[in-house]
Amino acid sequence: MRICKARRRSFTIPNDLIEDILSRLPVKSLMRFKCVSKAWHTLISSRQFAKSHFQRASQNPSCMNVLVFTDNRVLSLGYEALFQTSVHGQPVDVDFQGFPLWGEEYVETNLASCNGLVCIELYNRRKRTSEYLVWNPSTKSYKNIPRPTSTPDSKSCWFYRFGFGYDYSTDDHKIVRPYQIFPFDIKRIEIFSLKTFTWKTILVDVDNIYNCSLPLTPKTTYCNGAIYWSALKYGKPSIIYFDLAEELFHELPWPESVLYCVRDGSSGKCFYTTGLWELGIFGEHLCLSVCTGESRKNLCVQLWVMKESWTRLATIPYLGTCLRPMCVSKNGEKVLMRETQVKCVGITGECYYKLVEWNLTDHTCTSILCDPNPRMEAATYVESLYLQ
Amino acid sequence: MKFCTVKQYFDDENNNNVTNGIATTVIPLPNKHLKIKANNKEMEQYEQELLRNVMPQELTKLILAANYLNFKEALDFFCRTVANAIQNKSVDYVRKFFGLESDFEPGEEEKLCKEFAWSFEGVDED
Repeated sequence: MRICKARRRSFTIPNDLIEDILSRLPVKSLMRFKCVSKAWHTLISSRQFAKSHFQRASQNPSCMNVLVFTDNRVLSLGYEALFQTSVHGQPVDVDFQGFPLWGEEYVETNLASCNGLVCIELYNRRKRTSEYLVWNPSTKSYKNIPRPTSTPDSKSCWFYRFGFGYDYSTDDHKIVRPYQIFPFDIKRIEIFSLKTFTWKTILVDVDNIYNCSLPLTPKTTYCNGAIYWSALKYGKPSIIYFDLAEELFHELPWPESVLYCVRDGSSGKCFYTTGLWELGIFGEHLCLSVCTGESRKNLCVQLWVMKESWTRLATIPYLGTCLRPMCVSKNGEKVLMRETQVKCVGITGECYYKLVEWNLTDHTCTSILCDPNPRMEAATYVESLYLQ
Repeated sequence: MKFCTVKQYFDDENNNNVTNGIATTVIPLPNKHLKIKANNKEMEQYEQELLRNVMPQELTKLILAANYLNFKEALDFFCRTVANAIQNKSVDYVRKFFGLESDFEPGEEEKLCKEFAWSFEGVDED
């Protein structure tokens, strides 16, 4: 099918070059150019084009955006706004018509994102049920996800933190919810496929690593076709991940040289830093941010990235907060992180979140957005055409 | 570079405009590219210069030339230039640029424009 016809006997750009040119355009332009002709409409709406457009965008750090849910507002920050040297740009208010935002006190909003799409979980604390939505902030399209039909009664099971990822083998986005049924201690995982638009449940193999580990994490991380949870295995910190193509759990051990137990100089007791580590992303790699040190008075935060093996990236001062790396600037100097601070109110602790930017070369930290807020959620996304 | 391919291209095409286009723009590119390969800012300036001196429609001919010569860096450069040139333009501008005509039914196009009204905001005037 010719997608470029010349009026005169002159020069026509071949289809593959038109596709090349279009794959470089931002989503806003492409949505508009769907009106150019039927052929362009078909091309731009096609899955194959969405894939090649995304592949190009994901290589370009300027296409990275951060979505922030806070104080009943949804904001978007582009690359320039995040990593500009002088003044940080203003976040853009995202128009969210007809979308059931959290508004109620008892509804918790959780985000997970991958490959251009954002999955939103609305957790009803009273009923202990979750509703899901998958949204593309670039095309402004979203889909309500149906409830899984075989979910057991919420009183008899415990759901771990959900994950959202991309399966390379089937070109499919998936939502995963691992859970455990009491008192039998059987672990299962519910998987939703955006392609087939159905749920299925897998029983986790008894010998599988997942059965020995307890997923701890307040948030999951998606990286390269797998979803990661921070876990505890026989008292030691560990990382478990679910490979979306194989549909199996695996364990990823911590970097060997990192101490998770720090001795308190005076008392000689062990101070466990198991609560002070998070998984995040640095570029295309999984990144571990861990509070560690020789002694309790000498703590620092180490950033490790997983390439072929764990490689230490940087060490920054510990400021009493937990840091989750989200995205990095083009030159690798600045890292955007979600900072968690636990404030003690009586005998309970409440988590407050903030977006900060750490400069790895001069060890300075700048607040990007928001005063510390107990209801702030952030996720990165790359412009894409998935879900139009 | 592939000189035999270049010669063939000159022999094949009778259109003088194309030949001139290649001679003045495409051929010097490898040298230019090698010189300023490391410096992205210079490449951007060169791109701006090219856009000013060359009519947008000329870019089509340059793309075809670079494609025929299998000159990947030039092709990448020209495609990127075209993308930047049309990024913020209207639907009509893009149609004229690629020599296309609308083949939608009368009501269809309006419907689409309404559906994606947000994408028409802030577009350059024609």
